[in-house]
Amino acid sequence: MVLCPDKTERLPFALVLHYSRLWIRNTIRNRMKAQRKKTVSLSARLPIDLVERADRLAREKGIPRSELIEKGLALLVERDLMSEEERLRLATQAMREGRPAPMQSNWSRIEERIRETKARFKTADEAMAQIRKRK
Amino acid sequence: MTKPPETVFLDTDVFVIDLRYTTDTHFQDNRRLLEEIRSGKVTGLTSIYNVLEVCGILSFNLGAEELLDLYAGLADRYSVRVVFPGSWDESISFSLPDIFKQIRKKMSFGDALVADIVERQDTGRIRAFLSWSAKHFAGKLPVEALTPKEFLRRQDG
Repeated sequence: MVLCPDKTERLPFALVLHYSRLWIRNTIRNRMKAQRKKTVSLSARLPIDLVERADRLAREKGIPRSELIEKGLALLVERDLMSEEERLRLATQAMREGRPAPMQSNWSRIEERIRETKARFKTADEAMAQIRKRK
Repeated sequence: MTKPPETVFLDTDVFVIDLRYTTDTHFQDNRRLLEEIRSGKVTGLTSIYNVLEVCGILSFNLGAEELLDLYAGLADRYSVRVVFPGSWDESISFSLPDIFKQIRKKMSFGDALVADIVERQDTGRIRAFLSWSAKHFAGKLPVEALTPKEFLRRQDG
């Protein structure tokens, strides 16, 4: 038995223990809630095929679509904030150490641009001759 | 016991054909070689000079962002290891006497840079230097200079 604050009545120990546990649990929950990132809901109109591809990727990775979108957007923002010099330095360092590049390259964009544009040199031979100054 | 994969050193044109010149007569053989490397049957090496040359050739087609992506992602894309001359201090330097030694073999400056970096590797481990312009390197490297087609033919045979 435990004395109540006014010391007039006694509460069963099990009850005190129960309330103490509740208090500790709620305090931890509230702190975790406060630490959790603040979020906002956004709605955006996206092309169906992009969403389908994103869903496929999310399924492959075993993560929810929203997490995939969050990661993709974070990557884009991060890339934009990092200077070209810094990205070049990090990429070179990774290359030198035989590690994968720290930033994901957008190969579909590279291939698209190559397809869309005309080659500067007519053939690979010509490109090599020019770049190595063979002729 | 399985044989360890052979190591080859790839010249710039191997990447350039795959990325830009898809109608080139060598495209299929070239792609086959790159697939062998990607699958781990063959180990691929190239140098920072070659990576920069690929970027130089494609710089006429790509924006700044894509060019940086190309530079950063080429090694991963093709599963090749990129070798550098000397130590890394954010600049790429070469030894003038070493480059001059290559130039004396009748080479253009660009070819001499690549030849020098090939020579700096453990050439006992490198099976061949592969280039569609292998003739420019014939007899001038400590390793055999072959076209990818010649290399694949030997692999098959």
